[in-house]
Amino acid sequence: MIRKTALLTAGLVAYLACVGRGDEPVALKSLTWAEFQKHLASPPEGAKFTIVDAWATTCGPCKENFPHLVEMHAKYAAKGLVVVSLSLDDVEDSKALADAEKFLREKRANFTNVLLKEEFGVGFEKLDISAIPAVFLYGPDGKEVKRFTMDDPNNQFTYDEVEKEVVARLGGSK
Amino acid sequence: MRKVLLSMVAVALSAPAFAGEFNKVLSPGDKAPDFSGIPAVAPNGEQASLTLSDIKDDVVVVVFLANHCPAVVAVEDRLNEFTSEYKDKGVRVVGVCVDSREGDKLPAIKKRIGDKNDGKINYVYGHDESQTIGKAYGAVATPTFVVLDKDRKVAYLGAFDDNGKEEKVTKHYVKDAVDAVLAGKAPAVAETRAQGCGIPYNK
Repeated sequence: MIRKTALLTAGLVAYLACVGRGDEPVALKSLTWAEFQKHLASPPEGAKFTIVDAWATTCGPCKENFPHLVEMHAKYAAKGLVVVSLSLDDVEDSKALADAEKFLREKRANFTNVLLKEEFGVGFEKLDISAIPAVFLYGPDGKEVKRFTMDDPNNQFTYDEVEKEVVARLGGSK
Repeated sequence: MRKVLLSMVAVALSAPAFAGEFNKVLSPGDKAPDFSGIPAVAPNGEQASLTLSDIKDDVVVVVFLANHCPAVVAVEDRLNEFTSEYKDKGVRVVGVCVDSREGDKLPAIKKRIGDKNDGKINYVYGHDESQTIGKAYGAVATPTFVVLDKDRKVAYLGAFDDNGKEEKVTKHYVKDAVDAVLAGKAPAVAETRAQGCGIPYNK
């Protein structure tokens, strides 16, 4: 009986680890820029806004800060925050893509993880940024309402600022 | 009041919202920010330093680099070829890093230059611990290229060329800008987006 319970518990734990909070399994979803724009403009019901974190597996500061995104998902998803990671990794670099998926799984990124299916480098132009990480907030209509970038050396963003903005927009306290 | 509003409109029309189109600090035509005494390593592995006023060549190309950055590694061969091709034409390439991680600092730069398998780096390569040169030049990603003319004004700012993959390159921005400056002309393209690895600045 004990053995059976232990097995069941182990199974349940494994299941929970796989599906996280009942969200989709951790995998990269390839979208072109146009598809990504459509995706942003059709968020799930109840979504107040979407936060997008642009990153790449070759970007150290992106990976160091990624847990902030996971944490914000845990804290604010129920309050209407939709979390999306956007990988700007080279779609032709299979090793980078494998590394990216492994990283996302390790970080338990139980939200939508997009891989931008465009020629390498095009993502920077489309997002109008020079460097990553960069974080964007989009309204439910898919329109950008706020951006946080590294592009001004005298005013680079922190994830603290991002979270403050998220909290303010959700109308609650941290 | 109306006058004030009108003059504000005039200012708005005459001054761009940002410094450059992409660069938030510098624009083409600006005086090059000065730098001096930045510790560096020469191609032969000896200790050197970077001082703008010491350079007498007609053209200076300041390049922001970082050892760790794949986009830098991807452009390195092209940069080395460029440096060799233009060194007798009065063009001096200056490499500098302002990243703070250990693998990007001077001992790592020295190792990289000295490494026999990688001994192709043929420009003086410095590291600015204070990050001052990076802020002054508005460099937020590696690699970033800044071409300075004889008067040490910014002639070009941005990427080396239009693709991180050499076989896909169609526009040679830095080469074209340098050729133009050497010919006494203004570059046709004076600014592009420098993209690559972000340079985090210490707060």
